[in-house]
Amino acid sequence: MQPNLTRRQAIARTLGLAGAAAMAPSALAASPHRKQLLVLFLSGGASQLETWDPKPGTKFGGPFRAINTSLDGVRIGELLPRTAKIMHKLAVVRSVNSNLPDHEKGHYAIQAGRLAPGYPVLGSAVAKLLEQPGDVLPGYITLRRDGPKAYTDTGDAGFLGAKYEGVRVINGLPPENLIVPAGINAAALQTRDAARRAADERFLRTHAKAPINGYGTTFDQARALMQRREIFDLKAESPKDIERYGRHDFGQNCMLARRLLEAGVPCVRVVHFDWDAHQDNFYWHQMRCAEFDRTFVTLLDDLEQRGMLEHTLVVVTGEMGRTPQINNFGGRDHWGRAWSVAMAGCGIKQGVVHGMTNELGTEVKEDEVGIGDLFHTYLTALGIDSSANYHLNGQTNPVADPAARPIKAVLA
Amino acid sequence: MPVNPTKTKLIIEHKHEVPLMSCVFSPNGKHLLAGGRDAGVVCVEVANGKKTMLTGHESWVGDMARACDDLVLTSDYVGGVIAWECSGELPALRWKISAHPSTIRALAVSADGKTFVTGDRDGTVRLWQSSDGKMTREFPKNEHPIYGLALHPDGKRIITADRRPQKPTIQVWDIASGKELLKIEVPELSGYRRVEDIEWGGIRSLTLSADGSLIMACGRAGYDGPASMLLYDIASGQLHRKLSSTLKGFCYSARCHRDGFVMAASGEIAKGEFRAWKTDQDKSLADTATAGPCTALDIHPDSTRFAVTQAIGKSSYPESGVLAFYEWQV
Repeated sequence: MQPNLTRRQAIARTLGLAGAAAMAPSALAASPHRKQLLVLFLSGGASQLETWDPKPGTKFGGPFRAINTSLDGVRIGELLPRTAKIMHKLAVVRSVNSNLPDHEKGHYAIQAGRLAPGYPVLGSAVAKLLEQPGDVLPGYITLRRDGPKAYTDTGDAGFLGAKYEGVRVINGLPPENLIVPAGINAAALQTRDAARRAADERFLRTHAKAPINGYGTTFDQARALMQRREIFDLKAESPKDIERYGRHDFGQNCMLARRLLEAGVPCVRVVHFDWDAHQDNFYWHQMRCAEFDRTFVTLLDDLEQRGMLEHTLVVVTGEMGRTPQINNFGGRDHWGRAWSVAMAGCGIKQGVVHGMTNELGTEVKEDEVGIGDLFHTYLTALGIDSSANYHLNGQTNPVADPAARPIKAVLA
Repeated sequence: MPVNPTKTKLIIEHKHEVPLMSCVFSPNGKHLLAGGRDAGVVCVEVANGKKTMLTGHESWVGDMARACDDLVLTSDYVGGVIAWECSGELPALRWKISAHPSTIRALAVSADGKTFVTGDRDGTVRLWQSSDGKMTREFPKNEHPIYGLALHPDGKRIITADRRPQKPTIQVWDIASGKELLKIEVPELSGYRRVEDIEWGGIRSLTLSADGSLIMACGRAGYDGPASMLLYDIASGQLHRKLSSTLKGFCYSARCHRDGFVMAASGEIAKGEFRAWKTDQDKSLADTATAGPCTALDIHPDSTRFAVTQAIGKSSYPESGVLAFYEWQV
């Protein structure tokens, strides 16, 4: 390393060189300071009482203690000891009332910022709103392990169409059926592609263009992703770094998320499964929080060290919270009336805890925040005018719910 | 004189502010201690029913057992263990240790009461001296949380039950060498659900028959099956018998009576039961329904009485507890 380079500069330079070797010219055209979004989605609904809003010693507080954080006077659950040390870098909203104690509805609404169906979810909206000429890679990629919870994939692009639907990467593997089979040479591949395009064009003569073009774009995006196959090769990372992120699927997907963001993908969502603790909530939160805590702090640290946090908004959310009441099987059930969301990075004021729940954590006591407010906040943090409209196919639709507002207290 | 396991009589019920989930009589039988969803330990004087709260734990009190020298050991969800000296009018704290860095799910005492063992969420199993709480041994870490423990009456073996998904596992270890002697996978007590990809079931506690020949694993047969107890031959590892209740829920706790029957405490949503079994019969001897899920059970040292803890509340959410005393008729 040259002595005059900072670590950040050195990493950026190294990545730039490595990327230039493999990156398509158009992808390289992406601005290094483009705003990006990373959503860490705690699927199933994490308990706010075991994480961001502990109530130890109260009727519904559960068995775990609250611990001090790097933010004076703010305590979080003891299951997040590493996160506690970086609380001064986060903004936490403890007063979310989505009032949607349901997985499917919650998944859609918390990501679309609305109850009404048909709107794009955050990743798709951001892919559209941050789109730049010459973009080749998908605007929105979801990373998750293989799992049966189809509701984690619901919603997506809505009226924006297939182009912004996003690409799903399962188990860290590139999209299926895009690897060219052995024995197919470049000429044969070109012939096949030409045939596909000809078929598309023939179909377009008698059908609406937008959906077909959208699927064509998705195909091109997925293929561009395949040309960047090296992004998926986590073996390129040092064993020490792989260990730092954690060898579980969430850890590895977060490492992949960082690599995709580095490659210029505007929005990446990582799904962390198994927070739906209807039984043995405290056991499950010990397990899930241990994974989340270590990976989250490592990821945030890496983004900061690489200078990426300045232009990347990180959102930690689920589709709902969990009941303060503890059921017969030691579980907490679905709860949407008082729960928490955390943010960090671009556009976010550091070291803020916004809103308050009551003593038992059953209801919001101060500064209630709705799903629309969160959606406005995310877009505003990314430098997007959340009061703007989409103008598509002769229709005008507000980008975010006009009845909601950004949460000024958490915006930088 | 032998008791009649089919004839039980409620003596008294003590209400408590939070759901209860563990109980044990002191070695001299003068006190009954119980713990639950708060940091207090309820102490009831058996002779007069006088109730006192013992303080010292920092979290929920999940398991307890009686040891030598009139000691009762109680463990909590943040890894603490307290030894209560029960020879006086009221139990007094003899020692307190931070035994594990995470939740202790199981605690068991040797037949002579001089040794106890603890197991935690991280899969760590530790052996201790009852007299002073000094650790004497740590076993190789299990990859899965420990939910059941027992020390064999021969003093040479320790039995663990873990919470591994789809295949909760019982292991018998040689204490001296630390080697595994026997491994029994118990998929029947798994409640793995592909939909959530979560293990809802698992072994909830372990008990040994008085002669140490049978391992009894409490739990639930499948995701929505009945409260069940699986009995395994410790010599061969073979399933000896499956004892299933009609109650759809978990069997949480079992105790062996000197007269050769086993009492089990079980619960489902807003109801529970305790049930007596012979280990060589599929059909239970007797069962008694309770208002709330029965979460634990202990037999008085004189073998004529027993106590059960319950969680009481409407529908799914219990908000209080009951500690109920029963006696057997002869």
